[in-house]
Amino acid sequence: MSSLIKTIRTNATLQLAILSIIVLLWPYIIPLIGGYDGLAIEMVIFAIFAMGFNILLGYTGILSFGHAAFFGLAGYAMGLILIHLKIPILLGMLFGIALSTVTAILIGLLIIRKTGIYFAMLTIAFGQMFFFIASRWKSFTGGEDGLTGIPRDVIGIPGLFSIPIFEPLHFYYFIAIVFILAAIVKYRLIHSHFGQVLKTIRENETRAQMVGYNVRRYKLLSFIISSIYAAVAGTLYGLFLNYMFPQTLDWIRSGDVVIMTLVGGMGTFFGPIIGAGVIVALRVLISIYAKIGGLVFWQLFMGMIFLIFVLFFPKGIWGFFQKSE
Amino acid sequence: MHLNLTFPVIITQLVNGFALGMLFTLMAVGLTIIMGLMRVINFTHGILYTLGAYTVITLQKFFGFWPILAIAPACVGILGLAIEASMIRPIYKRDPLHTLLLTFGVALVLEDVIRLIWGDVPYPMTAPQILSGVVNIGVAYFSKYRIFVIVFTSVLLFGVWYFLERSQLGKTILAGTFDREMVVTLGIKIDLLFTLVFGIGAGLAAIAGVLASPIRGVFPPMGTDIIMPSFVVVIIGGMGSFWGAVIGGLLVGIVKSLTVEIYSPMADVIVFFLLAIVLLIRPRGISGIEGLLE
Amino acid sequence: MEKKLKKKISRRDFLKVAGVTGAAITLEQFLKGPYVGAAGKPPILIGNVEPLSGPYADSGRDEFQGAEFANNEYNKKGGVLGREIKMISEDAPSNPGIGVQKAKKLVERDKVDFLSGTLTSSVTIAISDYAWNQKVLFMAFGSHSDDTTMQKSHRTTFRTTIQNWALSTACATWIAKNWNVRKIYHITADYTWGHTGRDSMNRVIIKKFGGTELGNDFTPLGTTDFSAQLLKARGLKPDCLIVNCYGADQINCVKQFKEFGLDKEMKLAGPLSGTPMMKGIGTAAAGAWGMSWLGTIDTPGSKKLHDALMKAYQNYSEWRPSYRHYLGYITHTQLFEAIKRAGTTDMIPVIKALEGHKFDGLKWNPSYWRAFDHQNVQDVLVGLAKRDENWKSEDDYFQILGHLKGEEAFPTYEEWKANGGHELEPYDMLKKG
Repeated sequence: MSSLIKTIRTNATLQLAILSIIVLLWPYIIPLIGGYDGLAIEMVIFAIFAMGFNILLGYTGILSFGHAAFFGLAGYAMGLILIHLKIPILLGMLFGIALSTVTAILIGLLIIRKTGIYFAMLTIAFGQMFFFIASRWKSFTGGEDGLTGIPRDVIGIPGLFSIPIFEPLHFYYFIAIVFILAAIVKYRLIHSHFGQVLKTIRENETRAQMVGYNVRRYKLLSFIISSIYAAVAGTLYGLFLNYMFPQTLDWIRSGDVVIMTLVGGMGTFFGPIIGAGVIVALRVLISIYAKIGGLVFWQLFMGMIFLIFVLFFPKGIWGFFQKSE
Repeated sequence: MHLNLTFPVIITQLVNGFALGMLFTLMAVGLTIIMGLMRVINFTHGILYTLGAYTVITLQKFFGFWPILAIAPACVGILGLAIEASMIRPIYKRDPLHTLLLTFGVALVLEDVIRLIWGDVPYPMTAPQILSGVVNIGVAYFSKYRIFVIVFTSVLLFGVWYFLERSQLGKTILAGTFDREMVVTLGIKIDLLFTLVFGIGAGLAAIAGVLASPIRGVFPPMGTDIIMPSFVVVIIGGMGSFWGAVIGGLLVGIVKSLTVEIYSPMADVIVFFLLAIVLLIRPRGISGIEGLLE
Repeated sequence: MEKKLKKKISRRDFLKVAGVTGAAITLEQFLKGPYVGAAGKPPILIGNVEPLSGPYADSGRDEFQGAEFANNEYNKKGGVLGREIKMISEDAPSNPGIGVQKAKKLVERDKVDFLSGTLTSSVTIAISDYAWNQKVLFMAFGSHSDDTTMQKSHRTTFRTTIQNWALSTACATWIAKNWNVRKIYHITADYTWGHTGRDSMNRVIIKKFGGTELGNDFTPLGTTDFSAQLLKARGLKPDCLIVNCYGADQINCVKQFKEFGLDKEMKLAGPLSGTPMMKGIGTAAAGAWGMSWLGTIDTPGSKKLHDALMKAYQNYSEWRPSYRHYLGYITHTQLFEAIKRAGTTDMIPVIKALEGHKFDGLKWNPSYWRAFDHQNVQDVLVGLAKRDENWKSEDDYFQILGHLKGEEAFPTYEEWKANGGHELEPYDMLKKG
């Protein structure tokens, strides 16, 4: 048994394969613990978000409190173009992701010079700007009411293939494929030279500079890559709800993904994935069971669980089980 | 867009902005010293502000408004000491990210605790009779209460400044924001200093909450309105700088109030816009220390 | 060596605990199983979505209680069509994304037969769209926004709350007739609800009574400082200040209205208010407001409901039945009656049973849901907020000034069409798949 675990521990392809199998079987596993398709979908979407965010936070050591802006921007851009033009969903998604990534590049170029708390506050500043634009520009974005009517019928390339994704289960499998691809990409990145440099920057930026790396460029790339993951997740979320709303952009939502990464385990590969699943599930569970006198106190329980992690399990769930990489 | 700003409107908004700015300053002074000295990004400041306001609601019938101005900061200050000593102190050695997340978590929990105790419904809070009503100076009207806020806060801030600049303890604190290591080598118990500073910051936040309550009402998430602008003020003014917090606070308060008048949807955005500009051009802020936390 | 051993044990323990917890949760879900009501028939499941946390939690809880009260009443009489009513309640604070997710959970996982509730307009519209996609009947009784039965109407949504248009019309008509209001100044919350409130007020006072709008200020949601707008209003000297704001915005605006002494110079009015606002406003209470129901209405039906609610929830000392209770109660009650008339819980017959059916809405004239927009037409009240020396109890926040008959307050079909009314989808689109 222990030799089997050892093999799994050291063989990356095996790890990814096991992960893929779990993800593909998840809609059948989750009802056993009281879940349902919608919950499974949400877990995977945020796992993609957190996975990418971890590249920035866990592997490069940079805290951004504004990544929800890229998540929401992609969702809104895709939503708007799909509502107003009858183009294939894939094209709409690409548009949303592209727009969000271009924004990330522009913002990144502007702010990457700064570090630490200044960088974090700049990300909050930009994030909040987008949030307020989304909530106040009613004629364009629907304002506080949000953007309704995002279609979700088929995924396909006209003339080549067309897969229906209206049913939750079908949509889940589409997302699962995206997730697996995203996981593979991240894995290759982290274990490449690029990933190594990021870790060096995280440990000691000055030393990395002295060794000769263009630290700024690597940080910028890390920022952009993590924003692409956020954008992908954002478009999937818009399709999931057929709806997009301003709160997807605010700093509290950005805080969510930080929490997921921390609780799951910063700087580990599987950590954020587990973190996303746990936090999403907790949210739902808590709002069902945390009722006192007919009112729900989810912030109380969520906050306490979070505090327990920060105080006693800062390495997160996955970090508790193994050393961070 | 309102481009026909009349003189009375401008004056009124300037006074409102001044009063609002004073509240930001009260919050920012505490935040900036905590950040400068302790390197802690304190997200609980908003909830301490809220607790200050709730102290008024609860104790007002026993003591009346005026004593509350002293009682509220005392109560909340003690709570602040407790939070710092029990939860923040153990994790100083770690990455500042952890203290940020910790204070974030504490704020979440406390907000729901407030809801549990006092409920969700906003509480009415009126200023004492003597302070209500308006002052008519012929060309414009000013709210008496807001004038009071300006006067009271100015006196209070003078007191804080005096403490920081003239007293031994205050000077030690200021020295610590510049050079923590030196303060430690001088043999000063840094732990107790930190706890005290946190408590003072909490007290100032509570006073801001008390003063804000007749203007803004008292309800559980009231802190979220003020915490972000307060952080912006800290950065604009310069981390660790008392005068930076004052000037920054007034600047943000006035800009916000004027923007509400000119083009209100932009009023929230403008604060972040200011932040971005300051951070890109002069990150140390108006009178901050270069390289601090950079 | 010992250290290693210790670590291993704690990991194993952790897994043990996790395993037991997992088993416990699974067992619970298994035991929860499908419900079985009286005579072995499955219960009728209603998914109720309300804000039970956040700034509107008290209102959400009131709505829930009103619905729950109706459910209990019917269950005591043996249920509906012999089936027990079971309500599954979900919390959706004003964030509409969460609202949709909760609705999804209720429909896809809990397989509810009907959706009910919601409070804020954004959540209502989001769930209404979702309910239409899923072909589930949605009884919305919390949102006042005109959209819900106009631009965003659906054949699967019925709305009990009085729409903005009607509230404003009733209030404007009353103040124009009784206070002779002709010159008005608006402070308008800058979102749909505020905008439509102002438009409707203007429609009555300007077009019908020949008045003028002296000015208007849009304020973003969450504005706390209205001094600039109020002082501008003072300068223009209107007969009445119209406050198209709700919630905390309304509280702050009205309080500052009094703070600046404006109550001595002009009247105050607004499309909608309620006890939560007046609680927050305290002694600065003022203004004539549109409303749906008050516990002090003197019809026998209302009195009966008020007393019964007081008895059922008597452990709240400072609490009184609010119009949210009324809305929940009336909606669920009428849903059950419609199910009985239709003889089934199938959606199409129930919809047809609801449309146009007149019933006692516990006010002066009967109420009914219109077929063309699924809006509940009912008497609209106008109440005066008061908090003077004579204020006795929590019942006493408003004095009923009068009421307007539904047909005069709600938009006609022509007005509805002209203002973006979206024709309800035909019945044959209701078949799933």
